[in-house]
Amino acid sequence: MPNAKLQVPFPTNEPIFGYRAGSPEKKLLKKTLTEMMSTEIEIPIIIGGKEIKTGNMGECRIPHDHKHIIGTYHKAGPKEVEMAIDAALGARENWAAMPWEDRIAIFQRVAQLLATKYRHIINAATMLTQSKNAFQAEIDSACELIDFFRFNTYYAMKIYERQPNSAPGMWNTLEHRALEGFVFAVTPFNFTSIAGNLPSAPAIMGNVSLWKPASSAVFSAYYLMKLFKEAGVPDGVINFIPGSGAQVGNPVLQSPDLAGIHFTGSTVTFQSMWKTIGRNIENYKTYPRIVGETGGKDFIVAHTSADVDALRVAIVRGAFEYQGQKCSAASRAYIPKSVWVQLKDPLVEDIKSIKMGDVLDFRNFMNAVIDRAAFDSIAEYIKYAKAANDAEILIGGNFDDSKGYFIEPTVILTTNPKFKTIQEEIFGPVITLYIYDDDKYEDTLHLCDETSPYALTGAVFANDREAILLAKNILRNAAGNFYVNDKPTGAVVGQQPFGGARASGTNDKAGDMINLLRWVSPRTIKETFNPPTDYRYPFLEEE
Amino acid sequence: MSENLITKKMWVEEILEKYPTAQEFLSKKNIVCVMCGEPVWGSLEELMQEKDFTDEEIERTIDELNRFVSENPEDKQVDNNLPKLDKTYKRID
Repeated sequence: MPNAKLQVPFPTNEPIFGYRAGSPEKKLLKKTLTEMMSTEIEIPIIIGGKEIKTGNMGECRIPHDHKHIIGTYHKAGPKEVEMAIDAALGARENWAAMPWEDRIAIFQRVAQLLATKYRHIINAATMLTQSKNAFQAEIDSACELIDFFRFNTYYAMKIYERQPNSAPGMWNTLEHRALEGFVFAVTPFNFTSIAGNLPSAPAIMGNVSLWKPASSAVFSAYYLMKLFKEAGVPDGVINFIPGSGAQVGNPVLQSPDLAGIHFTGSTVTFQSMWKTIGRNIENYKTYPRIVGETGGKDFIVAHTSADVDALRVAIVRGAFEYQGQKCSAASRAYIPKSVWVQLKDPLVEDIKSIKMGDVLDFRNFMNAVIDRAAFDSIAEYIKYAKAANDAEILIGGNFDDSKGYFIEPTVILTTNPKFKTIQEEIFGPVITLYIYDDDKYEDTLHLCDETSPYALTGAVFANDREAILLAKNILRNAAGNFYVNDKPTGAVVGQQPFGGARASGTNDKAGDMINLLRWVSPRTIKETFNPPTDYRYPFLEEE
Repeated sequence: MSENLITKKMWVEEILEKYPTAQEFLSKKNIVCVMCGEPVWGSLEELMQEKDFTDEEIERTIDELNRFVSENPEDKQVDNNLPKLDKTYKRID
């Protein structure tokens, strides 16, 4: 429709379904879960819309019932990477040239299909292979991902609207071009929403992408590919190449057409990719945009004026929801002695009451951690704390992988402010507490700031405004998402743009215009309506 | 000693997949190979070089690692039977 200036509908956040007893959404979700569990699907690589099978297989296991496999997937290698790059570059010209309104219409349709027809499917896939309870799946794979699509398409329009001033006699315009090449999206297991967002945010801006999902989350990612296809994302715009990080990642990074990386995962892997790009910098056709969100050692600092009940709930929800496997999960807390006296027993009671188990039992607050490697890694930290002289396990500390990868919600108390588990990212249901003298609040804020290399999320609990102000100032660079009297998890698209700096990433705020700006390369065009016909300027005239 | 199962050029992801108990050993050596719930990319040698291991230390550690995984093989028992879902979990540690 060339003769119209279109407006993308102003987005609102997707409402969260309640999944109450007897509700239609709960019945449908349970039916879908049962169906998925009773079959085993074969997941192909998808390149240029074509299904590719290599025979080099991986498994989709249910973490809370790890003997149960509900899918197998074909792994990509260097050959498939080359094919994917060719397919992406082949699709690029048409996709980048498509009127932006049409690209946006496709992704608005993706959002709507996810909100309706695909909601229970993607939620069930996430619950089963990523071991999320219904609520955690709903806020992630349904609501947050729908929000990503709706807000990103709206922000895309806002970016395209932005134009420079023009002096009389000319018209200056800014064209927000797609990047010259492809974007490599590397997505994590812990959020299906991030998995869907990383390849699609660049695509909304006219780019093509290669998508390597986490090996433990291929199952839900495959259903997202089906969603993209049905909504009309053209073949080759998003190419699905599951496989081992090194087998897929290394050849991708060698491609001269690499134009960007959209990454969520570990700091070590991100830094390794950045170094590789640095070493290859002369080989690329353009400087790759590097966007990454990595680890966190997210904190809660309580002041003596804190509301103890609010603090308790924030610790339990912030540290243990989704088994602590959120980049934003609270994994260290600093509590003043006078507050600890009031907090300790109710906190222990709350944690004792947490039920853990299968996602099919909707009464379970917690489920399993993602896989064997994660289970072992977390268990090693707990064993370390058990053996230490300067720490004790206040509650939890047990783990069992006989049926699923279950780890109890665990609270470690330490007298050492630099104890291993208060510094290192564990990525599991483990929080370490340090109890400080009431009069050491300011010192403790500095301690919190200096204890970890990360700076993703953090929270302060206080009713005293001066204490809040002090925390905001001292912890200015300690978190990209800072919370006052709230848990440090649960950022909402359009409300709390998400991302952190220092070792936590490039802080390009997923789901915000800030992020989308990384996926365009502006071209300025000046058109002069009546160009000069004499090279001589007026000052050249004789007196 | 017989030929090593694990070599320094192997990807970390491959080592953990084939020899899950390797992680316990590496963790004790302060070589974190799982972050954000996922194996880090790259070879074991690259990971150890990041930790400033010398070439000699790398060779020695790989030998120790191979001995460890030989003495602590994975007891993985996987089948495709649909298990009855257990609503609780038991504590083993």
